[in-house]
Amino acid sequence: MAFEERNAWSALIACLITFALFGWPIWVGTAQGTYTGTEGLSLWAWDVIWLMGGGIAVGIAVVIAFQILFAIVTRTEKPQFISDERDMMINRRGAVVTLAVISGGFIVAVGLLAWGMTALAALNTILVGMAAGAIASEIYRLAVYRFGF
Amino acid sequence: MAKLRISNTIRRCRFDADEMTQKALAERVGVTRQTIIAIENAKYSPTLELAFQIAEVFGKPLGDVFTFEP
Repeated sequence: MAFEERNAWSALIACLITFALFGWPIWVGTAQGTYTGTEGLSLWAWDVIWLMGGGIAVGIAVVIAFQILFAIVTRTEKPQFISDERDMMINRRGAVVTLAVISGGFIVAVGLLAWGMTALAALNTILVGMAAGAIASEIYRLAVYRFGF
Repeated sequence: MAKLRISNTIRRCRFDADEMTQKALAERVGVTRQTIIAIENAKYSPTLELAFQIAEVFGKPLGDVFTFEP
């Protein structure tokens, strides 16, 4: 398994852990009405800041753990850390997938606002779009690594 | 996935070059072994620069290693 494919697996796992740990409480908080009232959006923003910070920390931890586990399980003494032109092309296309999904989330959020939904609903839709974009990108990258373009 | 329209004779060239391994070829041209595998299996078309590098390793003109199938 190439270095960038390992990174794609790490990123996918990190995304799922991050949104389970930090995204799920936002979902529950929304359902319980935690973010209503004058301070509601401020509380929501702080939870999202925790989500972003947590995501970075989880991402770093998962990448390191995955690389170490890969080396142990496959008994690879000197794992490769090379990124080549094919990796860069796959990364670029993955970024396009992310952008498309995030844009879709934004358009849906604007539509919700236009139909009279709350700002919180729109913000949560954008957040879900970003999560879906990140996950879709990693799934796309893994599919390309496994099955080709 | 659809096969690409650029075919190649890398496997044959490696065999002729004293059974050069995919890993050795990858190291010579500075890519991963997975990229060489993808090229050999027609799942990835290399850039022109990489294609020239691969042909150079085998000491052959580009057209002898890569062929466009219209």
